[in-house]
Amino acid sequence: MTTKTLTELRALGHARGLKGYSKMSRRELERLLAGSDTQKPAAAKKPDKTTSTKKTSVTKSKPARAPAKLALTRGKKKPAATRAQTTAPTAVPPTPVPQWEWAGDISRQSTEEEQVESAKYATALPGSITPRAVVAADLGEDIDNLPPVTEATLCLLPQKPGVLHGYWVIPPNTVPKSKSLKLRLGRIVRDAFEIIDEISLPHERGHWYFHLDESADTGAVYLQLGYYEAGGNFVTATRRGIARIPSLHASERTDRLWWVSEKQFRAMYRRAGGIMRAGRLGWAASISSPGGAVPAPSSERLAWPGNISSPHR
Amino acid sequence: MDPKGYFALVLHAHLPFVRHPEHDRFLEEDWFFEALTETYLPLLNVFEGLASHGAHFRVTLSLTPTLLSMMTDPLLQQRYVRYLDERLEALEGESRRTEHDAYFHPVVEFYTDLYTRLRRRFVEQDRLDVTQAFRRLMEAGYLDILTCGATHGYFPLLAVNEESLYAQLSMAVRTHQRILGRRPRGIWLPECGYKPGVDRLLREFGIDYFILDSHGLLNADPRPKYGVHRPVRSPAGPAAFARDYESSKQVWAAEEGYPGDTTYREFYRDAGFDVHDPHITKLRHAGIATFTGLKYHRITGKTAWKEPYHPGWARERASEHAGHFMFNRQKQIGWLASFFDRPPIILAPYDAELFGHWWFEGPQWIDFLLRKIAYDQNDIKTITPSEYLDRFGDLQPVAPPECSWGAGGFHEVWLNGSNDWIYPHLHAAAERMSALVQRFPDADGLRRWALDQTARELLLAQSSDWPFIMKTGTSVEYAVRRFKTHIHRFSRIAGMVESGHYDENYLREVAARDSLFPDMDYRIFQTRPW
Repeated sequence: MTTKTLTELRALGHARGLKGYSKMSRRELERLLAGSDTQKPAAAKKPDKTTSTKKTSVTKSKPARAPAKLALTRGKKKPAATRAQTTAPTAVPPTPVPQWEWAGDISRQSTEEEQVESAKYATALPGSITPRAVVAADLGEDIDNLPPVTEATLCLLPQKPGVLHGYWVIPPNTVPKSKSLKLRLGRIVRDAFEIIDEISLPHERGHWYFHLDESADTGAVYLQLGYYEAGGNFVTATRRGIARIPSLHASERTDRLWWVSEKQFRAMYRRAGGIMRAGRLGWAASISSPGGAVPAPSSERLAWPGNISSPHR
Repeated sequence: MDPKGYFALVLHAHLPFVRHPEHDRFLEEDWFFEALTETYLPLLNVFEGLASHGAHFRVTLSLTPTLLSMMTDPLLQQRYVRYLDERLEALEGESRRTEHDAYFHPVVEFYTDLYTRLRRRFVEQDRLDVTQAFRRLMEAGYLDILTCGATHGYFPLLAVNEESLYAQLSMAVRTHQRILGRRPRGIWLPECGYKPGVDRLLREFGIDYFILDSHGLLNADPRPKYGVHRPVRSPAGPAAFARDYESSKQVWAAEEGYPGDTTYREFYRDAGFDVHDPHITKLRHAGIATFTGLKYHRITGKTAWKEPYHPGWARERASEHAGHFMFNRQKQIGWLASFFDRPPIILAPYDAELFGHWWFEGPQWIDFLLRKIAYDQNDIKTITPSEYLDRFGDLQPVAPPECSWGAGGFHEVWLNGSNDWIYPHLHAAAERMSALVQRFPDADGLRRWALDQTARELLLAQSSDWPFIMKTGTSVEYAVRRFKTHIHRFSRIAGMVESGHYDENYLREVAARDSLFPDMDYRIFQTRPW
């Protein structure tokens, strides 16, 4: 719990149907969520719950961390699952999944920089409700009932290092009713499909956030949607959904013709806000605009030789 | 004498297409009017002033196709004149109200003078169309004007359908050429969102360079020899420049950045909320208080108490900050030049609207900065990325990684629990549009009209502004409504094309409202063989 951001905790509160979570401090939220954790077994008895194949009776919804996670860089190897080898995990009743509608204020928490960036869209003072006396006339259009996506769809989008977002649609009657649908995230290792994460599909349409180790450089990952046959074979209903997990790290390679010394590159990298972690250069991510958090002040980042560039005021 | 290095100021000017002819006045149209008043026109004044004094300066400016469309829209032009007139009328009342107030009356007079000059400029000099002033500065070599995605669609998350990226680029280049008279050499990728493969599309449209956030170069493979201080060659050929962290931080950071100085104008204290006299309440939208642009206080500090704004003091501070900024760039260039074997470039990109709209004194700061660089030193010289490439074209080939300039450096701002619901709709609509293009490759008449409008609706739905606003919580309801409206209109009109039954009245109404890109050709959503 302590590793989650306030936004994620609020989302968890929302997903668990807790009341008053949006106004709570981090500590209050953690306490409330810890309390709700203890009630999970009871909640799991309800008919609609999603679960991972690796843990049972865990209820989570987006953007909560997916219950099953393979820490790719920590050597936790899950046996590679090929179509012939994989056995069907126990089927677990599904949970309701958001239907791609605006989810209210989930995950909305502005930083000061976002405030700067979003000032050009401001029509009201921060914290007040945007006045909406005049709204766009809609030509009699029923925009709140958007046409549903009906084509078979499976999509995988990288959100940031360590997090992937998948969504899917299975048209009715395309999969035998007796089969339990599975969503599998994996990668190809020595011609075999190695499962990173697998969830039982709660619904014929929905979405899910997969959480991996954020420092993992995994190359291409694949999303599969299908079901297990009695013999354990995985039948893919649709396979589209390929993504590359973005990297947080600097490359280890240097170009012979454009060679740069480790010392020089490190100096430039660190001046750009990057840091060394576990022996690797990384995290030279955006300072702001739009919405970036300012890194903690450090003289090294602020100063040029001679400490001239300290904050002006 | 050759300088030790170069400085490229890059301003990204963008607003989503907001135009509501169905209403006599519309709250969100003020976004554009406020930006014109506080950013675009003041920047033009700065650039023209520098040019008339013969100062050497170079600025790179992106004018997005939606912004160009609004700048050239007759309805919005007329409404902007009304916006200025209403404020001038309100200022007459304010002048009377503050007649005996030694603190605030001078501020009111300052605004009266400002709005009078802006109106005169907009009506008499620009003849309601400011794009031509930008064009003249571009043709004179002072400005390098970049294009952007047609509606600022966020490439990494639209790339599921490559047709979408092709359409965004195609319409962007076409609009740029139509309004500014030449093809763009560079592009500001919306939100600096890059994904490997985008460079291939850019090459196809003749784009020479694009701009990334710092980690877009620093995490490239292999390591860039010069860090972010020289461009690199992407795998497909276009050059990639990257943002300099240090110069960004000095301006952008909310706390320690220049705009937070206590002398500068306070953004949130606005007469629209503070004054309840009839001449101000007349500016309200349907009786609801909103920003008027008349702000009389300075930041003062982190207190509720705000002191009166003093334009002269703020101007002095802007000059000091410009000197401070330049001094640090000189030091930075000196440090870089000590171990570079080629001249370094410091590229400092900002949202244009930061200058003037948020940081009211920002245009003055730019004015001072460019003058100081031109006259007060010889270490650095301003340059545009185009000029830099023309002079120093030997670039290291590297492969930049997927990245953006959003919070965290990737896609989280535009893909999270508040806005992820939009992507299934966007991707499905792009698939459907592409299928329509394949089915009707040479449509004409009513079908052509309808197909062009579906393409417009899809482009409008793809705007990255909607998920951004949903995330940050400003005007969320409007963003949700706009997204849903465009998807609905797309779907309804696509349905007409598929069935062959057209509702001409509806089509006419929609076309009158979502009227940008008059040269639309729906085939920009064509799937192409690779």
